[in-house]
Amino acid sequence: MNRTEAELLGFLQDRAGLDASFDTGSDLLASGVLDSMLLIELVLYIDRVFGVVFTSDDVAPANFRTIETLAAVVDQRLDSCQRRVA
Amino acid sequence: MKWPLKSSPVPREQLPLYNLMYLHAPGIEHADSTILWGTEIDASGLQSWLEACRSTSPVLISTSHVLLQATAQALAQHPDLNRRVVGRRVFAYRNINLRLAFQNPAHGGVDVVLVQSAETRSLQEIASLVWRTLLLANRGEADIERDRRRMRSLPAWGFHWLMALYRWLDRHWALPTIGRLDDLRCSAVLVNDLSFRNAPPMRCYKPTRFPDESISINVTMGPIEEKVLVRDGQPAVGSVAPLFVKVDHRIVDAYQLGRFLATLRELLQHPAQMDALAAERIRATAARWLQRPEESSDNLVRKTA
Repeated sequence: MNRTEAELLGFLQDRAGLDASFDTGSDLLASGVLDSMLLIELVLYIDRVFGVVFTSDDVAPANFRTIETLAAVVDQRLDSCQRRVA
Repeated sequence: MKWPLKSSPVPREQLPLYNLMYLHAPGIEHADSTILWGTEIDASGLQSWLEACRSTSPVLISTSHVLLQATAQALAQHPDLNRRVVGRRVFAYRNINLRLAFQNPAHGGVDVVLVQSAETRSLQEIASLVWRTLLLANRGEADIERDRRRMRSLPAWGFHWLMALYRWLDRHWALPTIGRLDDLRCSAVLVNDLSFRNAPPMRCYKPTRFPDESISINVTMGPIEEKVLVRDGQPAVGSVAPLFVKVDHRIVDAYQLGRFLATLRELLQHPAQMDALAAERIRATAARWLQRPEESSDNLVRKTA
């Protein structure tokens, strides 16, 4: 588990009270963990902690399916930002 | 400036006698014109549809979006509900516009999304609009936020008198809407999706009556839960969601409400058909505008500008 995944898992465990069986590969959508309100809070959290701004176009099932897929999107955005700065 | 209501009221002859009795009652305190009907939907089809959308749609679709689309399509089939009371008269709305209430964690209060001409929108369009509005509202970036801040900055006496004047004007005249906050008056319906995570099972729900009279219908869906159902004469465990619709007897009666609710229930149980219905309505509206260009929204905007 990388740092981004750990941060996101920590946030969701804190907000949604997930049990120990929930991991970074668990389906956030099918399990009903991620309702509209929590999704918005999660987007704002990513904005605040990682500086990655999601638009409505980014609210796609493919991005929010698991913590792993979401963390990959965040890391990809951070990488492309760093490349642009370099 | 927009004129949400048609220019003349619904003719008195078209209003049933009992509706007129409520309409001419001495005051809402003495005669309660609220009718509330609760039912349940078999949510298995809805859940399968949402899961299918998650594999195909580029936008995340939730129960709120399906509820909005179903309400719009049901209203298109039952236009007699898309009306409001102004004084002692009943006016029809020009368009099927819906309001969706949502909790805004940024300020801990309720915000409202307005979905205009909702019966002509696909599920994906509705979802994109709602997500965009939710994100802007939660970041405090929506244009409407400035108007809300202005309202909140008014002193208590100023707020009280402004609201009193607004309510008085709204109850006596079919007014145009001015400004972003006021635009919400363009809609007869408030849609509430209370199926949030960890919400308790819903057995009964009574929505509030908004201080102005622009909302005539309130549609509320509660959380989905597992229940024993009878399918093909056999007991089976299935997903069930409660659904409540509140209307005003000055506009419709229980029979009309029952028919509307039956349509809404059917659409929610079989949501796959709704995008086709929306596309059909776009074609029908375009054909009507070609025949009678004076009815088009563009023309209306030109007239009111």
